[in-house]
Amino acid sequence: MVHDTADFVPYSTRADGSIVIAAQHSFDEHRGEVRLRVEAETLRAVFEEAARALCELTAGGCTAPPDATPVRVVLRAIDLEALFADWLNELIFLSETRKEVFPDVHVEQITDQDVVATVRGVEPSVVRTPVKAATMHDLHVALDDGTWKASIVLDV
Amino acid sequence: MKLERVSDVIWELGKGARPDMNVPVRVLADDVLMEHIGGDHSLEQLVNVSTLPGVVRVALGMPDMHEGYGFPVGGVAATALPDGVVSPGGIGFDINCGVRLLATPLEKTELVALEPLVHELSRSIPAGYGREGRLGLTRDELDHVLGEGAPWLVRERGMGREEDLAHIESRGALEGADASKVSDRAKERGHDQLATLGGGNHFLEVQAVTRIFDEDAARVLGLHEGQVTVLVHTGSRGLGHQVCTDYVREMDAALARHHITLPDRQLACAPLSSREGRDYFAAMCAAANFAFCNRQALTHRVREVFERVLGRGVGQRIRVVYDVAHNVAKIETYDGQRLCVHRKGATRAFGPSSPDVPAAYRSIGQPVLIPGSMGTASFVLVGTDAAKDISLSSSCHGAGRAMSRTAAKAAVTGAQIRKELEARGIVVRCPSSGELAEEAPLAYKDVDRVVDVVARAGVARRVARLEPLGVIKG
Repeated sequence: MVHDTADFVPYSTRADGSIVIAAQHSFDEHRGEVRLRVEAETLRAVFEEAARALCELTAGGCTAPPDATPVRVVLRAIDLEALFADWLNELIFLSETRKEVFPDVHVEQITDQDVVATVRGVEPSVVRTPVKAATMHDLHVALDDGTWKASIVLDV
Repeated sequence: MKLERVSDVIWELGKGARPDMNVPVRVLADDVLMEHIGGDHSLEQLVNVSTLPGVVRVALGMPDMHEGYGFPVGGVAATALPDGVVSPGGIGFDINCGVRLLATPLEKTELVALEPLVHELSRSIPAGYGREGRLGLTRDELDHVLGEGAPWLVRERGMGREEDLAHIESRGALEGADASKVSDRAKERGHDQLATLGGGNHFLEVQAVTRIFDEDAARVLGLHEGQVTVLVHTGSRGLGHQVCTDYVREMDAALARHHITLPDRQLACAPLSSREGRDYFAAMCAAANFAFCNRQALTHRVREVFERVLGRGVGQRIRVVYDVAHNVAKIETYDGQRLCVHRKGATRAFGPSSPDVPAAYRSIGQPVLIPGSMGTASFVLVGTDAAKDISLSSSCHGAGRAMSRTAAKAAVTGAQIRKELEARGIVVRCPSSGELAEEAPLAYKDVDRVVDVVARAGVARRVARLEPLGVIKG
């Protein structure tokens, strides 16, 4: 299944007129690690928001400079949840090897098994929480009542 | 699920408690620690471990057990060769995270230059995220590190002495390591991280021996009250993390082909006899060798710094007491059966009759090193022969987390922790206040209690208690 890749809209409106913020994330309590939860209107937005959340967790709020070198990410996995874990693990790998975090993320194409994206990074001035890996423990990515929801545990 | 108390500090859950269990579950804990364990999902995770294909005997929880991902931290399980599985999650991302104890020739009363010593150690030993080790290894040299372990570093780079190797678990090199099974991505991630401490709960402590419990064993280990020691806690850094990530992914994709279903995808595994299983084991051994080399390189740095600051040949007289892994899988024999023993946040504890115990320690058993949380005591124990049947020759690895990082930061600030430690005369070098708070003693279980359970269970005997004089964290 190919998922909508139209230009990202920050919010949408329900039939009853209420506003739905398109993407949001939270970090939940876990004894030793960190659980990331993401909600968004589209799967593309879930992946982009998760990337921004990873950046925030690692280095706080930051912005990529206009001349940041774009890095292309092309991934394939056996299913959507494995793809989500691979996505975050790729960003963790790129962070550690390029010494950057990636606040600027654009997913160009996404299916249940493939993602193509461009990310642009910045060297963090401070590292708050280094992330070792995204785990497959209690990993969920699913459409729930019109909203895409994802949950993943990060080893920090 | 209710565990039954079967003896003083041993609890069990029969394999009938859940239909998919292959073996019972056993937890070493007193009443207080059992309450901690009941407060998270670690017991459920241990039950999940008991469902692994080929798992035998018992799935074990150490007294410092806490919720992890897949395996709980403080979990031990063994699978039978040839077709029992190996599970990267049963070792963890930080392959061969472990602890090394160094004995110095100094007495605490002689150490008047403590602050300059700790300061110089913090300048010379890279700690924290993104710091490079400055060894300048070529890719070819990295392959030697992975394939040959600490002996290569000693022989080819002159970082340490031959006698160090005799006092490292497996002599600092796991058999079966194959650098070609470590991905280029893992090598890229870790190539400049040798001789670095890392961050999180990794540390280097200058300590003093404050109590001897067993004079004879302490004499064999070369420890006495008032002696200055150094404890190093670190692992395989980004290289090990990537090896685990790579193989969890590969094994997850191969589960259906091996007809394996699991209650938790992070338990992804493959039969040891399969291509995936053999490749992972070889890569894990290589990553473990990297970690042994990391602690060996840091030992070299410690010797250099002690010599530079204190002179008089002090650095050269620093000895390796022992080095243990607490995230690793080993092939071991129990009652004639070859098993793959997974220890995730657990330490091997061989007794005196094991041929794998260094010759110098064969009268007392293998040293078991238990670091406390920051600012609290660490312990030296020795393993017992009885541990074989009680806990698959396994002991705890530390104090175990009692609360999340968020909760710890809400309860205390890094500045408060720093102030408390400094008020006790402990020199602290840690640039991150957030990390100090996350690693505060209140975030961890009581290490005295954890060690007490290990001793009461008969798994290991207390030898010495060590307390911090200086702490370096990333």
